[in-house]
Amino acid sequence: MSSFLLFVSPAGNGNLHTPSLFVDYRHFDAANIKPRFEFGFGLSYTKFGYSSLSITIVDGGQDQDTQLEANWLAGKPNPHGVGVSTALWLHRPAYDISFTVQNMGNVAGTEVRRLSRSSKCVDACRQNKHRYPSCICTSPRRRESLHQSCADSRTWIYSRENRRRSVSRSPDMTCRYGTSRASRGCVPREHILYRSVRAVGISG
Amino acid sequence: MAWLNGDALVQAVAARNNNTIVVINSVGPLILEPWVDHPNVTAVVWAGLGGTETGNALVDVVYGAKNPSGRLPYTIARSPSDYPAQLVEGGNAEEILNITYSEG
Repeated sequence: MSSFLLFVSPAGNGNLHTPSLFVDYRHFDAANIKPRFEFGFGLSYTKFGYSSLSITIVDGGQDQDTQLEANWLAGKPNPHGVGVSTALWLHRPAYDISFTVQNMGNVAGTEVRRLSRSSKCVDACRQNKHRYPSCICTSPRRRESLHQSCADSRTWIYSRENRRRSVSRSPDMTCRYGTSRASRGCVPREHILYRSVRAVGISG
Repeated sequence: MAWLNGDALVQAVAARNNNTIVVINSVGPLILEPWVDHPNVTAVVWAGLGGTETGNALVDVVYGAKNPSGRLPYTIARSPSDYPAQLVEGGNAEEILNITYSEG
C-alpha cells in the first residue's frame, strides 16, 4: 500500500500513511496474536471429502522450444538475453493437477478448497510454494472433479536468484490439498482434511 | 463491545437456558469474551444485517433446514487492543480529525 498521493490537511501534516500491509489477519499473524475467530472462519452442517489427487504433465508436442526445455531439465545452460524471462522453455512444462471433492453430508454446502504445490529445486535451498484457493458450492452427495493448471516454478528461481545458468529442477513435486486453513478455524479440529501426496519421478 | 448491555442480555439468558444460540446483527466485529465460553452458549450465528426475510432465514439456519456456510470477512479478536487500529472519535464543524493510519 505504498502511496505517494498527498492529501494536505489544513494542519499541514502531509502524508499520514506509513506504508505497510498489516491490516486485519496480517496484523494478527505478524504480531502473533491468537484471535477468537480468525478471518475466514465458518462452520458448516456438512463435511467434504477429498480424494484422487493426481499430477500430470501437459504434453505440448514438439516445437522450437522443446530442445531448450530439455536442456534446462538436464541442468545445461540456455541462451541468455533481454526478455528471456518470458521464453516458453522457462515456463514449461505445464502441469495439470486434479482431485475430487465430495460433499459427504445431506445438505448443500460451500467449501473453500485449497491446493498448494511445492517443488524443491536442486540449486535453491528454499522451496517454491504456490497456493490456489477457491470456493465451490455443492448439493448433497455431489462429487466434483477439480482441475488446476500451473506452470513450472523455474521462473521464480530465475528471477529471484538472478542466475544466468540454469537451475536443475528436482523431479519431486509435492501437492497438498484440502480445506483451507482459515475455514478449519483457529481451534485444531479432528476432521482435518489435509493429506499430502507426493508424486515422485515426474520429470518429463 | 456490544451496545445497550447486549453482553448482559446474553449472560442472563444463558444463565437460565442450557441451549442458548446467540444471533448477532452487526456490521463489524465484536468482542465475545464475556460469554462465548459459557457452557450454555451452544452456537453463535453471525447474521449481519438482514432484510425483510431475515426471520425466516434465521429459523432455517438455526433448525438445520439451510446450511449457512458463511465465512468471516474479518477477524474477531479476544481484546479490542489486539486490533491494529482503534476507533477514532471527536472532531466537529471547525476541527478536522487527523487519522494516522499507523497500521498501514
